[in-house]
Amino acid sequence: MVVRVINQYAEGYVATPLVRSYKDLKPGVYVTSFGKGAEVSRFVEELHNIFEQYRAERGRGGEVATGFRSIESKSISSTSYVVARLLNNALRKLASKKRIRVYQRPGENISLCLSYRDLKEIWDKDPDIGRDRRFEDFCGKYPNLCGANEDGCTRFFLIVKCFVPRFQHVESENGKEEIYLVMRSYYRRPGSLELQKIYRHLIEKGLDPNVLKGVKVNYRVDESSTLICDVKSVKTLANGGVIAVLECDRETYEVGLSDDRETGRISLNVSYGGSRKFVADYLCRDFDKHRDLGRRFPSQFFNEIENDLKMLKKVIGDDLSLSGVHFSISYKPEILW
Amino acid sequence: MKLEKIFNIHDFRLKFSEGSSPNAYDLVRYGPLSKRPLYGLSNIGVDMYKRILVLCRNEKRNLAEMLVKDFKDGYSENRKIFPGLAAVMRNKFEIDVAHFSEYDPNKIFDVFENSGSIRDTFPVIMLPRCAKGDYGSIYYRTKAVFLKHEVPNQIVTEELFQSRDKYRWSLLSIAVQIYAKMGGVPYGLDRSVVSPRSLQPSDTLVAVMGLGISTHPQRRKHGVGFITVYDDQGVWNFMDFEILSIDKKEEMSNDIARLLERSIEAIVRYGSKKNNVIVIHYSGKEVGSREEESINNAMQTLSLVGKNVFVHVLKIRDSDIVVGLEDSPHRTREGVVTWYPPIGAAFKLKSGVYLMTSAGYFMRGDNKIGSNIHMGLPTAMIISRHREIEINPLDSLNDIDLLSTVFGLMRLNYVDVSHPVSRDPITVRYSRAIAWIVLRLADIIGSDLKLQKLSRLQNTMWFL
Repeated sequence: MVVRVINQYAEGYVATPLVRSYKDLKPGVYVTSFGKGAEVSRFVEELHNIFEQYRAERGRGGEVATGFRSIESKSISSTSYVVARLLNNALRKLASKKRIRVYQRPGENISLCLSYRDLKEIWDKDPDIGRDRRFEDFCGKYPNLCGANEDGCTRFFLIVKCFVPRFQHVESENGKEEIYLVMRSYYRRPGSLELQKIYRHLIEKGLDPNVLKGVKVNYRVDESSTLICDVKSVKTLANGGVIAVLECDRETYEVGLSDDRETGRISLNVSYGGSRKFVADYLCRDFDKHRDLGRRFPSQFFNEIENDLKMLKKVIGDDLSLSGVHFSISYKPEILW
Repeated sequence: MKLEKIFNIHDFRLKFSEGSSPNAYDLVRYGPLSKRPLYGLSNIGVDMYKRILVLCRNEKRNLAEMLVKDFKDGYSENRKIFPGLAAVMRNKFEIDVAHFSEYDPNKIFDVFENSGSIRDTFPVIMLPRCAKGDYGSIYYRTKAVFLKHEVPNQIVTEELFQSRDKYRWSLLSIAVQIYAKMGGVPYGLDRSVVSPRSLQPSDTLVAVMGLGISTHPQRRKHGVGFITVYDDQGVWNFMDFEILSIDKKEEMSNDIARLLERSIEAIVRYGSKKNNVIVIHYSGKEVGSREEESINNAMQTLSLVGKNVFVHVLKIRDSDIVVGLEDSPHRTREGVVTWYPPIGAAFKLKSGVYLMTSAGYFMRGDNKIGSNIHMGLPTAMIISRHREIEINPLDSLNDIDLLSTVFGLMRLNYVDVSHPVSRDPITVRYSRAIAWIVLRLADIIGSDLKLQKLSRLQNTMWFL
């Protein structure tokens, strides 16, 4: 929790835990200054303010701040294991500072996602960054999936290109430590398929909401459980309210579609054929067209990597520095054999 | 970071009854390795079954009848692709169809039960395809109902019949899975997964254990810990599990320790060898930090007094690192240069941490190039050796030997025999299926569910 509080609330600092010893590094929480302005030496006095801020927002935290056994200064190599982890946390902080759209899949440190519009703005300003021709061609063919026009596709979907950077610590045979940037990019279709939003769309189009019958949805029952359910029917109550009747693992639930309190609890599950047919028929016929974008071979990936890295650098800026040490990213991939 | 080794499928040939080959399709030519389990109970096995019963919904009977015909006579358009169940399994069965009226697991089981003796009949159940992430799906519910009655079963999705191409190439894989679920051993490896020079085989037993922990997808405070055990040639031994309270850390560690101790004792007792080497694989994808801490605690409290047991631990997880080979000989059918790397290329990231490609190209026996990927970026795994929780690690077993256990067990793909290497080893591949079916069984039977009460399941690969 200490690490999370520092990374979320401490302006100018970043932290990472080390659970067990690694070479000459002891277990503990490692903190360093990040970007310009902050000084590591001032961290101790800042710590108190950080936890005050956390406690004010969350109503707790003071007991954690007094629980440190000791705080000591240590100089470590800029390519050590802990530094790779600090850089990853620094990336997350940069993204939140710059308010970059961030979507994460399980296992990803961070995924910075840009729409075609975002990318075009950068390409137009900086011709040194090569354009992603495939994405351009795709958006030329399906502009309603890339933010243009106003229809069901634009309302519910937006294809984005996501850059997934992660710093990886490695060691050579002679013990030399290095930090590599692992970079991946892919195309995503984040969707906002809340059932309430779909219901409003159907009504606006003059469609019977019972076209939702048979569709599969994810229903978040509470904080720790989500069920996959069938929509059995959509009913209007005597008081004018509208409910969806769901069958989930042989139990029935009634959820309000016109009730703001239920917003975000039910969303369409597009893993199922029935749901996908519904989306294609009533929301967006071309919603799956982006899949071909992801079908790249390594040959294409490595040909595009330099442009992806330039784009990443443009997005996160050039201020990736820890404790005054500036880290720059090489554009050439590592050749291993 | 450097290339450490490229594992080759031709160094891990598959062993059948009458020969060995790098190719799983040669099961038909050489016959399956064994009709009975090579370990454990002798009252199960392929010979115990007299009948295979295909269960389908009334409206799908034409599909079921097509399947039965192909099971009996072989794939009608080309018997070389699939010569029929009797030819593959070297055993004759009656093969029939029975119909149910709705997708209700209990009603489907009733139809099965009323069709005759359930002990010598193997059910093949046709169901609609479900998303793997749907715990409440008809798939998991049906599996659980049949397994509650100790009836291993094979599910075939109705959608399989929509693609003639997919259907014909699935027939052999379905037969292999049925064979394994009956208690037979379709094939193993024709060598030890570790290099023979590393150990003295005559006085040393080597076993590879898959360890998994999963939280109940609907009730987060509950979960299951399970193990699966294979011998050093990838032959199936047994499985075991414990129902866990995920929110009670100490209790969870104790339960996992108990599961590991019980399983290691069973391995040692059966093997009767002087030295017992156990290599544990666990999946980083399925196991969160809390569960990992419990594994660490359990390993440190294991009581293995009086036994010569040497335990090595590997964590296996997916990697985001993209590997490409500029000089790759692999091309698409249209001649496009792909840069796919060879499967089984292992790179050392640092001491005890390796990256191994699990998708890419391989050389087939006829010197042609094959691949287990046709589009998209190849996958790779990070394999980390967790020395800090190993028990008496053997110096004679080095990191390459341990990586070899991973690659060796990637060769045992009973579910899709057309791919010579799966994307992960069989020890971690079925983690979710095992966990969710056990949890559904616990939902039906109760939290005092014990595998010992379902002895028929302990020695069969019911989870394929």
